[in-house]
Amino acid sequence: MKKFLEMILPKEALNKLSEYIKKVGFAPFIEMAMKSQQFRQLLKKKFEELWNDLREKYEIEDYDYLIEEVDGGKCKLEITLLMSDEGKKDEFVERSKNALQKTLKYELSQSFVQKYQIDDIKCYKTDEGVCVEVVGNREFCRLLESLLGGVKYGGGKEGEIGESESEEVGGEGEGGEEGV
Amino acid sequence: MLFKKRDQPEEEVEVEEVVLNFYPIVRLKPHPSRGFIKTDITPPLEILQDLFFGEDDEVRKNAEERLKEWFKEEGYGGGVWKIEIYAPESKTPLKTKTIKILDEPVKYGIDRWVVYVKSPRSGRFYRAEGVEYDHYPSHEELLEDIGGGGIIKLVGYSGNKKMTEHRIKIDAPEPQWLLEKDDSFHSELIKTLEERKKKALEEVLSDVKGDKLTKLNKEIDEIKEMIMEEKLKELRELIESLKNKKEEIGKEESKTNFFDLMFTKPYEIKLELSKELIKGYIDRGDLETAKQLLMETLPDGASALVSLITGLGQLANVSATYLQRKMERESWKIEQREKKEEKSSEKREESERQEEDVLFKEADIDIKVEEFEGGYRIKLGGVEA
Repeated sequence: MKKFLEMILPKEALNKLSEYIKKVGFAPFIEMAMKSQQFRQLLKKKFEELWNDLREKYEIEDYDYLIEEVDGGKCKLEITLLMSDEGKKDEFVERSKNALQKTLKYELSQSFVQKYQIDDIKCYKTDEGVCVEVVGNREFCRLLESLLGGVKYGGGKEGEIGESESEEVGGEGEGGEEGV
Repeated sequence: MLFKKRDQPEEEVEVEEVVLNFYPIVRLKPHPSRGFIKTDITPPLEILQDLFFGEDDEVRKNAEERLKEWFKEEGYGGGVWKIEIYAPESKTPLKTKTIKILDEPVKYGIDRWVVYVKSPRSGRFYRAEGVEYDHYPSHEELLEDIGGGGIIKLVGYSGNKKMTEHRIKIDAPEPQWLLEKDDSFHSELIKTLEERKKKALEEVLSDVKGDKLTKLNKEIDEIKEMIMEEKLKELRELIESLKNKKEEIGKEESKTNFFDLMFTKPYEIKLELSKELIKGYIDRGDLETAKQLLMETLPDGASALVSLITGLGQLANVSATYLQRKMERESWKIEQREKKEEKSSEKREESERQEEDVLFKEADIDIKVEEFEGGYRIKLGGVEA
């Protein structure tokens, strides 16, 4: 988390940020930060950089994504990173698991998790590459949609779309599964 | 006797009895992120017999191929199938075999196929509205119903439960509606930006209405006054500095005159006089007197030069001593400053560490990670908005 913040923010800004977060608290901070155009632009820029790094490291050819509504008025974002090297796929799955386990334990992440009501994350290998599924509220999907769409559109454009495309295909229950 | 025992000879095995005394359970993993689900499929027992109890590898391999074909022919499609055989009344599988059919989409249990088309521009899959099938569609059907081709994702459902998905590529231009949807997404982004800009502008404009406008005007007047005062101050300072300059110039001039008057001028007069006298003696042919006069004039300049050099030497000595002392004092100051900076940097680092601790404090939460073949799942329970 620290590395991630250091990556997205200059040191002076990180120090100021620390002071500010201490003053206002984590959750209100996230709420306010996401309203800031500058913050979102910065986040998007860093997202693009992160994507470029990942693409190079794991030989990712491209990505695509799908947003669908699931039970409880929530949305599921499904991103597929298209890659062919089986070794790289395994590496990505393993590393992302460790990174997520660590990151999610921070209070800062918890604020994010709570704000966007993220309750389920899946990551697995497919024939095409690696698929990451995240279930969160509509706001979360809109945020990622603007980031993902923005990257594809060549960056520079910032914003959130007013209303997410509704693609209700029914909820995905888990009943009937017998475990692995 | 039901099954072959290790210590018994090969010829005593009764194959027919073995076949009749086990039952199979077939499970399917329809999607990489899903577990195995129990099916109601019963493959032909003779294939299973060869698969599990075949004489050699060739027989078993052949049985696996036959079983794969059987799944396809029966319309169950591909996927990862796990075949388990159980002894009667046993709940523990006797043997298991996993068969992967990857060249065919999963079809078992799927009653609805929903179609998505990938936008090459944004990378997002958009649903093809109104295009659904109760069977796995052919390329021709898709091409006609979607109105184009491209990268297509077929998502299979059993009731409302998502079972599987399959990607295919149809070599044809993307449908027109997809481009329009993508454009609408793009224009949606731009529209939002414009709305924000407009809102921000309105906020600024509303601030300069009514009382706020009066207040603003007052503030502008105050600023104007401040600027005028500042300008006047600057002007006064300029006049003052010009006055001082003039006085300094005057002093400089008088200094120059005094120096010239006291030293330069008399020397120049003396030189001029000597020159004239020497010239006169030479003209008269009295070379001896001219020579003597010349010698008397020259030592005058030489002694001045010597005095000057001596003076400069003394000045250099004094300067060197001064510089040495200054250097010593400066290095002491630098040393003190470095010590001070070191201390304050330690303090700063400490305070930064404290800030980081606040930012990166670990929450007391339990994260459950379920691992499965080729992936994992993290469930974050008890999250409240």
